[in-house]
Amino acid sequence: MSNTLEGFNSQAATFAADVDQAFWINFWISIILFLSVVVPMIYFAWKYRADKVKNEDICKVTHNTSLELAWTLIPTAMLFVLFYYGYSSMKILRTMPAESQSIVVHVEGKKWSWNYTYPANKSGYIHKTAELYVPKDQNIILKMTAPLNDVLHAFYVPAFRMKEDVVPGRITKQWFNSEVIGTYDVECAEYCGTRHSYMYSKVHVIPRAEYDEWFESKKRTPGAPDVKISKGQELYESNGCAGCHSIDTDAVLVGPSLKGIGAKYDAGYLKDAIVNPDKDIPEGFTAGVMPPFTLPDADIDEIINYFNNTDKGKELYEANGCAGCHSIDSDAILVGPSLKGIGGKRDAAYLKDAILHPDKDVPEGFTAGVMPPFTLPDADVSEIIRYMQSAK
Amino acid sequence: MSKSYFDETHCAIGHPKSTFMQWMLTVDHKRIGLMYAAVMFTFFFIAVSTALLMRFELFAPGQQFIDGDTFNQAFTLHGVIMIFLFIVPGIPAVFGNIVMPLMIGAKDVSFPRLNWFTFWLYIFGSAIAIASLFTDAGFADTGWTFYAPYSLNTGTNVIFTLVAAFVLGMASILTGLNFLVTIHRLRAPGMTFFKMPLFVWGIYATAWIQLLATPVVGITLILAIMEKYFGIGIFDPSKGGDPVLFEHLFWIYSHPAVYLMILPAFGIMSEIIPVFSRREIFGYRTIALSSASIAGIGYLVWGHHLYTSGMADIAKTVFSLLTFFVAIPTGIKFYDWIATMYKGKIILSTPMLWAMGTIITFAIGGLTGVTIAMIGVDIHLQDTYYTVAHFHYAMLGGVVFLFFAGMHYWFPLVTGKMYDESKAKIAFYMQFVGFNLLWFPMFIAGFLGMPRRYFDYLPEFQIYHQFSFFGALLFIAGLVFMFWVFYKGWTKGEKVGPNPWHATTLEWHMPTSPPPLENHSKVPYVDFDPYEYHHGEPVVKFDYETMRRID
Repeated sequence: MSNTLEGFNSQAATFAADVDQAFWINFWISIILFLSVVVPMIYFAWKYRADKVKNEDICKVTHNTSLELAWTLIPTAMLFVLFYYGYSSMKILRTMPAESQSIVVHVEGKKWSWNYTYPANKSGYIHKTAELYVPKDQNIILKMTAPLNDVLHAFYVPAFRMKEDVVPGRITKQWFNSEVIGTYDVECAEYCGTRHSYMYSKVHVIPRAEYDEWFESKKRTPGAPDVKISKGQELYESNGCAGCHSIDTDAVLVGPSLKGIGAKYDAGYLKDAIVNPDKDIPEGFTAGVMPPFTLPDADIDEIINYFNNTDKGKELYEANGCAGCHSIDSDAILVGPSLKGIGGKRDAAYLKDAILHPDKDVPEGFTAGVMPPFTLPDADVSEIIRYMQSAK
Repeated sequence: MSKSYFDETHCAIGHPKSTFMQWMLTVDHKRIGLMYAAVMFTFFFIAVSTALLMRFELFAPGQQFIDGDTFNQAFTLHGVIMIFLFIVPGIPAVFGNIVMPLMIGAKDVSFPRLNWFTFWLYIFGSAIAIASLFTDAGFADTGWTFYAPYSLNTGTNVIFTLVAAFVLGMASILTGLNFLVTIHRLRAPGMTFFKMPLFVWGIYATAWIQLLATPVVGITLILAIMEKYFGIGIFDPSKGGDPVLFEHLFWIYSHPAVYLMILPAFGIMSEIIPVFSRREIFGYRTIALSSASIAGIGYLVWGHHLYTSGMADIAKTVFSLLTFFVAIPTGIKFYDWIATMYKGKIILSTPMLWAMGTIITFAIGGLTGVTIAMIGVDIHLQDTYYTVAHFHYAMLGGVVFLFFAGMHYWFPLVTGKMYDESKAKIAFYMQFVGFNLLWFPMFIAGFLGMPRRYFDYLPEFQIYHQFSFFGALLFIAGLVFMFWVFYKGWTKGEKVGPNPWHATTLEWHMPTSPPPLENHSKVPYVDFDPYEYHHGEPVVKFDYETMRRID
């Protein structure tokens, strides 16, 4: 999984500095205590080494009340300073702001994905997302839980120094207020099985205006194109199907890949497989791993509809290896230029030319001859271009 | 030529002729201790290999050698073996058996047949644990903590591991009971509690923990089995249970268990430091009573494992405060040991090197434990590599290092021979350097947010995993070399007399080397302190035939 631990040292949350302060106070006190043991030990081992000490010179010292009091009381005092800082930093982390002055987001952790449910906006629309979007300088309260038939998880944002278990059947809370715009990794810190180490999400801290505009819209994510993705895809992602089943590739995550599944099975079978997964298990997979999903019929139809219409353009983009050299989700330059937002900059004719005759117009800073000309049927080229245009 | 305990033995049943059966049925505490050691270190090497396999997988991000599920089983196997099969029986089962009765001048433990039964109960429990490796469902993938509801839902063979942990817990309780009675009833006349060697104090404090805390985990495991196979709802929220309850019950045992592991190890430290400083120990009573107070307070601190579990903030505060109280007696012991070296004659033999190395590694393990006893900081570091590094510094760099120190120290007692000192020192330095290279980078990775039990990780953590990998190779090389030195010492080593280290405690006053079947020729009368030296030589001398003082 390509991912980076973004913004770890940026002191991104208001309380991160307090936690770090407590850590560093602990660090220096530990160094003092460590040296107070190890330095005399090494010094004595050298000073009283066997070949320098005559047997008659060995002293029998077994008690020294003032010294014993000193090495009891001084470290004790230091330890209670540390206890205090542990307590005070906990107080800041755990004292929830008033809900009236906060955005309360419901977090659901389940094997092996996170999803976030926002309060209804003015038009009554409820955002349900796979990554968390929050405005800068705003108290955010997370009310977290896991489905009853799931297991423990922990919502951990290293950059914010915050973590709390997500417990099935309970609602646990955390809060934060981020002062720095950026994207921060969310990790699952409580062991939860097969794909525990892939249970990531992100917190996007964005400017207030951008957040407000998105929140009042029906766009999936801030900055997403107005091209609305299908309801089916939305459901596929928000129900965490993607955590176990890849749909763009043949990769087997936990369950089988669903790539092209729409062409292989009819709707009745697919519906059964969602509602009652253990009824027919494909060879090589185990019953009981996938929980039965109880969703409204309409939603299931939408998901199956999505299976029948997975993005051909994206498939071709990946199948032809475009993604190996051109990132499309980010501005990262892999080999060639990033294609993020390329649809807004170039028209279809230019893009088609760039695929079929790449050397005709090489962007500044890149070398001709690196990308081979792709000879693809016109229909496929149009699909890829449509995908480029739809990608954010 | 007088006979040693290798030549003759008492058996639980009958008088078998074959040497093999004599070992299988032996009730002699020294033989039983040796058999524990043989079995435990076999398991130890299995768990070390499993750890190495994980290190190979973690050398680079992505999947190389094993898949995620196998990795999850690997760290469960590693944890279950290291905790339940190796370190919990650990020092008490080996040196508690071999040395403790000798130290108090007893002929054996109070209940030798029970001791024999306990050993076989341990073998039975271990066999159950290992058996699930060969079943269809495979070894458990829950982690050694068996947290609900994961352990109740997983398809792997958790039942074997739970039953095994229960049986091994039973063996642990019986060992504790046996040692408690032995220490209370079989001390040589004149040996009051404050005349006991400090290792016996360590074993004594541990025995109480074994007896009182282990039943809690036994009950918890039974409840988990009932829940998983009969569907009662204690821990599973889908049946109305509460998973956090499991965490509480589990740690009510498993935290005191940490002290159960370390207290006998501290006992070994307290034996080695005075002997290799050739002078009486500093602060005998303080060290003895700190063991007892650690064992006492240790019961009340389990909640520091649950700072991020959803527990109430006031409970976190109380548990944190109590945890700091455990750090105090531990710290005092360290200063007492160092003060023992003051104006002594420091002999840097291998046992002393291990003891001093442990002072460094355990100080790091203990102080980083203080970090994560601080609630706010632990919220960040809980379940990261910082925690992993902390407990390996404390357990491997504390308990196991002192176990190794004890193995070097008592090697001539057990075998009657001496290993190659210079080679043993090389093995120590390899392990000490390898150990720090293996674990120290994990503190940094953990602070930067590397969660534990991750099969794959973000690329920026790669450098730390690679340091760890090379540290692991060096550490394991040193480990293998150390056992090779032991093997050579036992087969080809020079014969030494009963007291090669000029030690004072009773286990070094044996009529033969190695000791005979029923230990001391006569029960000695103890009217002296355990570590009496004068001008670098033991004060108390015995006629080994009559066990009367001749000094």
